[in-house]
Amino acid sequence: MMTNPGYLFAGFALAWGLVLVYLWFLSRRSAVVQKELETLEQRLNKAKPQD
Amino acid sequence: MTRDHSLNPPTTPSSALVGAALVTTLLALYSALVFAPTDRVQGDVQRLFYLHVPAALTMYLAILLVFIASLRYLQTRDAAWDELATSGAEIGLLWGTIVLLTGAMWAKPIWGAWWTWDARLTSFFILWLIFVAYVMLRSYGGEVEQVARFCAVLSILGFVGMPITHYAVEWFRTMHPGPVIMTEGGLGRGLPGSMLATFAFGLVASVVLFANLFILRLRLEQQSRRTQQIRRHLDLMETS
Repeated sequence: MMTNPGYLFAGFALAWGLVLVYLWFLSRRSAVVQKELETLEQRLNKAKPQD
Repeated sequence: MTRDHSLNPPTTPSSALVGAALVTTLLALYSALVFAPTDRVQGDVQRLFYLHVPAALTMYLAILLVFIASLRYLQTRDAAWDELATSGAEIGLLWGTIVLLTGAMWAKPIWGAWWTWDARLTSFFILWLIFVAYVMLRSYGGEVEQVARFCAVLSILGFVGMPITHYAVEWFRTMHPGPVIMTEGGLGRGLPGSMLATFAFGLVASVVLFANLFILRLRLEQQSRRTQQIRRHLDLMETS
């Protein structure tokens, strides 16, 4: 039988929870940068002289 | 340093590295929760050792990485080194937070308290605060080169604090246990073979996961800075 299982699983859950929250945070920031890049690409295409 | 200068470079680590993270993480979890024997004195909560100590050692690795990148930035003023340092510091802070949380979960049933202001815990907390300050300074913004210089100085402070934290258990009387991996008797002499193997799996998994997150964060930092440069350039083009 396990002794102190609550603290053990809370420790593992907190660590993995933090990593997952950080991954979600990174994906959100990445989406913002991607969106801005798309906007800039459109602006760049408009700024280019037409052939 | 060489960099991918395309407008939209890949943002994820290689599939081999992601696969390695999955395999080593599953192996480390199985070893820590099933394979490793139960500690006779502390019981199952001692299994947090296989997460707590590898995370602390990986944070040391992050501190070293940030220190080297910051020194190179101060020498060369090449922004690529600053991007490395910024990414390493953020992931290092994440690993430091894991160390603090798993430490508290381990301390409560064994010491009867979540926290104690002994030399190891206090010095580690100060080290963690240095990295909190680093990340806050970055998010504050301001003049890019000035912020990069301040952050480089902070990372040097963090590097100086690392050996103080590590050797605090030997230099001072602390509640925190002494070393069991690198002991006076030799490397790994403080643990039975099965516990040492589980610790090794945990350390490899922690470093591989760190590498994955570091690459993700670095690519994001590079993209973000490139986006800012393009925006500034376009603003100039459109106003002229």
